[in-house]
Amino acid sequence: MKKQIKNLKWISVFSLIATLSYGQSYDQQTVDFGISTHSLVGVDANSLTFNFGTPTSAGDGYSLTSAAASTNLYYSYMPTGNGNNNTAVVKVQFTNIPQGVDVVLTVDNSGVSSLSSTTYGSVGTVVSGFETTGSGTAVGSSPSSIIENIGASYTGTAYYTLSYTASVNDYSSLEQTSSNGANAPTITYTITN
Amino acid sequence: MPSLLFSQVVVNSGLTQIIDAPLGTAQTLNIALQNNSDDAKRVTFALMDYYNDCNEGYVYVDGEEPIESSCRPWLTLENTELVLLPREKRDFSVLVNIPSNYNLPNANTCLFINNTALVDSVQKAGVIQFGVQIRYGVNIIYNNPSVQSSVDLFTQSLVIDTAGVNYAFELSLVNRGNASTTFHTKASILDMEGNMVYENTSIRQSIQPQQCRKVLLENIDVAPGTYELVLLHEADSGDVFGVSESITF
Repeated sequence: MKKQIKNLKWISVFSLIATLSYGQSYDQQTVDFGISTHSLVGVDANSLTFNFGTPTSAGDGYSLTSAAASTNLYYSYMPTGNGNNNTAVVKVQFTNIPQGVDVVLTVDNSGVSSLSSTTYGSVGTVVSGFETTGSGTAVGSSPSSIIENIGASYTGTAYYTLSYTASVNDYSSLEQTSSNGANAPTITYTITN
Repeated sequence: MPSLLFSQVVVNSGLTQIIDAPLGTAQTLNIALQNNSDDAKRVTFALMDYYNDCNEGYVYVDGEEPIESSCRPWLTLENTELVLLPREKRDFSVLVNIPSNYNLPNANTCLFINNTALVDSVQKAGVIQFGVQIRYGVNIIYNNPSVQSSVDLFTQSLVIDTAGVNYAFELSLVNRGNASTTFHTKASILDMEGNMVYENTSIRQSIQPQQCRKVLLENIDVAPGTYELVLLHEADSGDVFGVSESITF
C-alpha cells in the first residue's frame, strides 16, 4: 500500500511537469487581432459643379454672381502604433480655379459630432474658420486644412458636409476653363498625418 | 455609404514613415497600396518638400530646389506612376540613400500618392465643373543619430471651454527644438490648499520641429474657484517640460 502511494506521487509529479511544459509551449503564441493601418477618404460625387446660369439674350451676363455646391466627405483612418494618434488632417485644394472666381468653404460636422467615440473613434474637428457658425474661409491653390485631430476612427454612414460658394469677383478676368488634361479644374482632398 | 469611398487606390501603411538609420546607409520603404475598385486604377507619385507652420500646418514648397532640411534628393521612387489591377494589393518601394555628410538633426519630405481625378471637367456655358481627386500624403522623416538634437515643447496657448456641463481645456504647444519626438501631457489641477482635484494624461502624439499640436483635456468637473493648473509634457526623448498657471472658474 505504501509503495502504491509513492507511485501515485511520482505520477502526480510527472503529470505536473507535463502540464507545465504543455502550458509553456503557448507562452509565445502570436495573436493577430487583424488591426492594421489604413487610410481611406471619399466623397459622394465624381465632380463639383457650380452653375452660374447661361446668358440667353444679348446683353445678359451670367444670371448668378455666385453659385453653390456641396459634397459629403467620409473617411476611415487607422494610424500606425508609434504614437501618431489624433494627428491626421484632411486638406482641400483647387487646381486651375478660373481667374476671377473666389471659392469659400464651410464644413458642417453636425453629421459626425454626435457619433460615439467608443464606437467610431476620434473623428476629428473642423479647423477654425471653416465652421458653419461663421461665413467660411476662402480656399484656393494652396492646400487648406479643413478637418484636424483625426485619430483612429471611421465616419460610417455619417459624414462631414462641405458647402462651397463660388463668386465672380472680377467679370473682366473671367476666362473659359479647359475641359480636360492637366489644365482641367480639379479639387483635391488630401489626408496626411 | 457611397461606393465611391472604396473605388480608389488607398494606402494601407502609415502616413508617417520615420527613418532612424546611420549616415551613409540605405534603406527601403515599402508603401502598401490597394486598389479597392473593380476597375484598373492609375496612381501617380510625387515628392514635395514641406515645412511646419504653427498656424497653417504643413506648408508645401512647390519647387525644383529642395529646402535645406529636405531628404527629397536622397529618395529614388520605384516609378512615377502605376496601374493597379482590380482589387490588386502591392507595395510601392522608395529607396532612401542617406548621405554620409548630412549635418542637420533631421530631414523630411512628403510623398504624394495621387488617384487620378475621377472625371474630367466638361465645358458648358456658365458652368464650372471640378474633377475630384483623392490624394494621400506620406510624410518621410529622417532622424540623424550623429547630430546633437533637442526637443523643446512650449505651451503657447490655453483655451478653456465652459460651454458644456463640465469644463474642457485645449492646449496648443509648439516644438521649438530641432528634433522629432512623441509626447503626452499630464495635467493636474490643485486647489488653494494643494489638494489635487483633477488629473488626466493625454494620448501620445508625434511632433516635428516647429510643428504645433493640440492637447484636449475634457470632463473637468470642479467647483467655481481659483486653482493651480500644472502641465507636464513628457517626451519620449526623456525631456520633461512643465508649466503652471493660476486659473479661475
